Amino acid sequence: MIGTNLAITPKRYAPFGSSNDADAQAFITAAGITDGTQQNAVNQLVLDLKSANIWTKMKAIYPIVGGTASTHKWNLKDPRDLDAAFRLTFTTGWTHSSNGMTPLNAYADTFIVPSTNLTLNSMHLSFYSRTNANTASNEIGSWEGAGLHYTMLSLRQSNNSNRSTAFIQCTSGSATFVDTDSLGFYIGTRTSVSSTIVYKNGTNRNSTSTTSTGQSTRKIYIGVANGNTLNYSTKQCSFASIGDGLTDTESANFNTAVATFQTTLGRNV
Amino acid sequence: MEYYGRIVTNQQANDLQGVFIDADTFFNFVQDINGIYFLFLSEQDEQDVSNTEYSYLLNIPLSPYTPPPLPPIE
Repeated sequence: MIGTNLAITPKRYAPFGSSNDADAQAFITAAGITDGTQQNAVNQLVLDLKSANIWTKMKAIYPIVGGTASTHKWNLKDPRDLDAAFRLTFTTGWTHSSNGMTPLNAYADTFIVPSTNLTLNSMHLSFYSRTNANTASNEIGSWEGAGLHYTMLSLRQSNNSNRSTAFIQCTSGSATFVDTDSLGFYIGTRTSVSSTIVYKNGTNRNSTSTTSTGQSTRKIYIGVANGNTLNYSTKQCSFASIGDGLTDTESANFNTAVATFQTTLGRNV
Repeated sequence: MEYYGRIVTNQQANDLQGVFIDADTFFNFVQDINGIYFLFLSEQDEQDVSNTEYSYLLNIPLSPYTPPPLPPIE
């Protein structure tokens, strides 16, 4: 016989997503991310960046999560649907998927202008590539023209001896290395008037003492360097960021956070 | 790798460059080695364009695209 006076206390669950970091939740809400794994990945990314004191160095973080243009466009640092918030707009030619976004003669406009929005001697660009290709491409950047100010990150360029290269706020001279593949997380950073470094997967691959000479007045594009639209990228982008310069330790911690993010999403390379 | 796009007139390229087909995506036209304008559309773009007044662009056949020569690296 079953008793009728069983004391059953209903277990309480926190409303889904309610325990997320406030910045992560703002992004999740704006982008309409409903998948639990994606929500957790974004939340952990924000927590890791804050824990490593990198969060405040970011002007824009593009997690490229959700699988569509309408979810990929959002800036994690400022998830408002505004040019002033540096959310992306896309040209035709992008293929969006859960693994990222792949261009075909296409670019995304970040609305970030180096001369207006960034600091001359403290700046970085990052790009997570899921495509191994040696093409004559620039993956992210702004280029005023030969001999003028530019800042850009280029991976395994076929017209440059398969080198991956970072030009940051200069007119010539780059941190560069011969790359055996173009897979993983790349950072190009300037941390002083005379220091530019290119990192791959958290490792310092090359540094140069090239002097900063000025800042481009063109907006930074993803998929090409704005102003040099002959060198369109063909590499699938699964993360990108723009912000202040990053030290060796910060770059290593940034790589760890992004690697964790990509692993959680099942798209790490 | 060979790429294929849709050849448009200079007038079409000038008129439509930067025009949004939805809230997030706008037209971009790229010149080939001979200065001819091409439009590249992903499958998602084609679906989006099909719902707009620009759906006539989908009737343009695909043609091989040869990029212009590259500028020097440095």
